[in-house]
Amino acid sequence: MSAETAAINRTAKEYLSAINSGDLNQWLGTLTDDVVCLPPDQPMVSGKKAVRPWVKKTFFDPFKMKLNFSFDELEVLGSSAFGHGRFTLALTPRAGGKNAKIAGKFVDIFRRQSDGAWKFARVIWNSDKPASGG
Amino acid sequence: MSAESDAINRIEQELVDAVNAGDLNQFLGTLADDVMYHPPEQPRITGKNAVHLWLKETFFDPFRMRLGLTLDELEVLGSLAVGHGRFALLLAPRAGGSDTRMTGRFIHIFRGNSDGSWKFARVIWISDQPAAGGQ
Repeated sequence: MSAETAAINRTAKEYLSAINSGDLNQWLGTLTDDVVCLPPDQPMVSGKKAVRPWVKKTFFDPFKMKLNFSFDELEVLGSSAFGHGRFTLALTPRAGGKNAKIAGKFVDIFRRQSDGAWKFARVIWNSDKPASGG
Repeated sequence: MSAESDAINRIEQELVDAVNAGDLNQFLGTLADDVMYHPPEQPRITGKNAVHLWLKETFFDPFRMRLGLTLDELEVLGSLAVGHGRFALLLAPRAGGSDTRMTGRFIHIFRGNSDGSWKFARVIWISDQPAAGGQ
């Protein structure tokens, strides 16, 4: 594994642990300022300032989350990289009620920062099953 | 616009033309042999042969299609390029019945070939409307 690949995997691990511990600020720290999120069945969310209220309202406030993901491919090209893979996400409503489990796939574009760290710049994912599959 | 961007825009247009003409073979000509498709609400599809069967059954056989597509961002990184943008797709059932309109977003990963052409290598898209919003 190259130093760049190792650094991207560190960022990915931080992203994962932030979600699983419900730490919104840590999660935002893994994103570039101009990040673009392309969530399924919703309009695009562009820029970290817009992503913060959206992700807070959609995920961090209403749910405890358990995310797992792995890269099936990760390719570094200079100061950019792309990866794709599969994820599972369990959403437990903080207000009580039934859990939702989602399995799907994603493509992420990363950018290297001036300090050598890598951040998520473009994020798109979708489910392997129709939404009614729970 | 660079020569690479020009070539990638041409392959995007070729894909759109193939969809709108219902020409599956032309469409397949825009894809790398090891292409991976990540369609919404379905598992990933790997390789041109598998994508061929899936596209034929899911889109080309049952529907006449009208696709419009805009690249909002395109970055060429050596022999690889990343683009994201928007699409609008109209599906008219060949067997009759009401049309379905969808709009959404995509990320396309392209690979450059030694002859200067580019092909689609990784394709993922999502609807940007609520799941029940099909018209």
